[in-house]
Amino acid sequence: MPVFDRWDFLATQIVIIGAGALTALVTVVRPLLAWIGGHALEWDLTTEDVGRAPEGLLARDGVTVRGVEGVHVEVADASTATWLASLLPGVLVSVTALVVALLAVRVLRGIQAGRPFTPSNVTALRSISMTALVGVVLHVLATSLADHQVRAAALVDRDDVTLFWGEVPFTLLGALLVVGALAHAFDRGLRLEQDVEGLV
Amino acid sequence: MPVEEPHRVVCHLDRLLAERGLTVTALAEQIGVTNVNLSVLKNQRARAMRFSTLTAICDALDCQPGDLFSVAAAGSPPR
Repeated sequence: MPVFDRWDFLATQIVIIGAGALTALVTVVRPLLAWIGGHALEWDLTTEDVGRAPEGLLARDGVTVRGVEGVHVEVADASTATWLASLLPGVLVSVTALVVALLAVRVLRGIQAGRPFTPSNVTALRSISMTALVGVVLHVLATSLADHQVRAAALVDRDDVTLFWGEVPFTLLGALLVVGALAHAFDRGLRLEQDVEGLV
Repeated sequence: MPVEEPHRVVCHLDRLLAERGLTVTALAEQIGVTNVNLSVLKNQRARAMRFSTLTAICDALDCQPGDLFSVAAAGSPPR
């Protein structure tokens, strides 16, 4: 007997998969189309320069620098390496989001089928946790690399590399811990279910 | 998959039922245990038993746990 309402379950699956697809659209497809279309590379610098007056930054030729809360740059003739570096964080976020979405749907389908405590679900939950954790670390590295690349292309004498751990939201790390704990709980449930199998 | 722990406990429910002219279904209805669970017990596929079930079966069949179970001799194939 199904656990969730049929339409709720369907809508949840669409939302999860849709969120993954939308992430890919925004973070990869859109900038890729801008590149193919010959538009300028737009980037928000996440450096210690954020918060400083953009007038104090010396831009290279063909580069527009705007500052509201951060520093927004538009590089008109960005090199292939700069474009690829700028796409890398988006690719990582998209792959992570899609993998997590597919695994989450797999877990939900197991629950819906009345079989929540299966080795497959435990593995899927652990994979969600690990994928997201690895994704966060790689995203920080990729963002730092991309920022370095864009900064070097956009600004004069600004090509130092900084790791941006401050960009990682605490809520995401909290969610990862919850999913990890959930995997442990499902593993325990699996063992208990095996214990009562054959009990009369 | 559950890890099967071998044992040599043999259940004599089928013999006790036959001696009393009862069926698994009739006993199941009498003691409030599912037919499936009693069949598991009768077919030597049970791995554990609640004392409440044991008490109910012994009451219904007017027997003792020792009549229902025995342990096969060492060296006999484990179940």
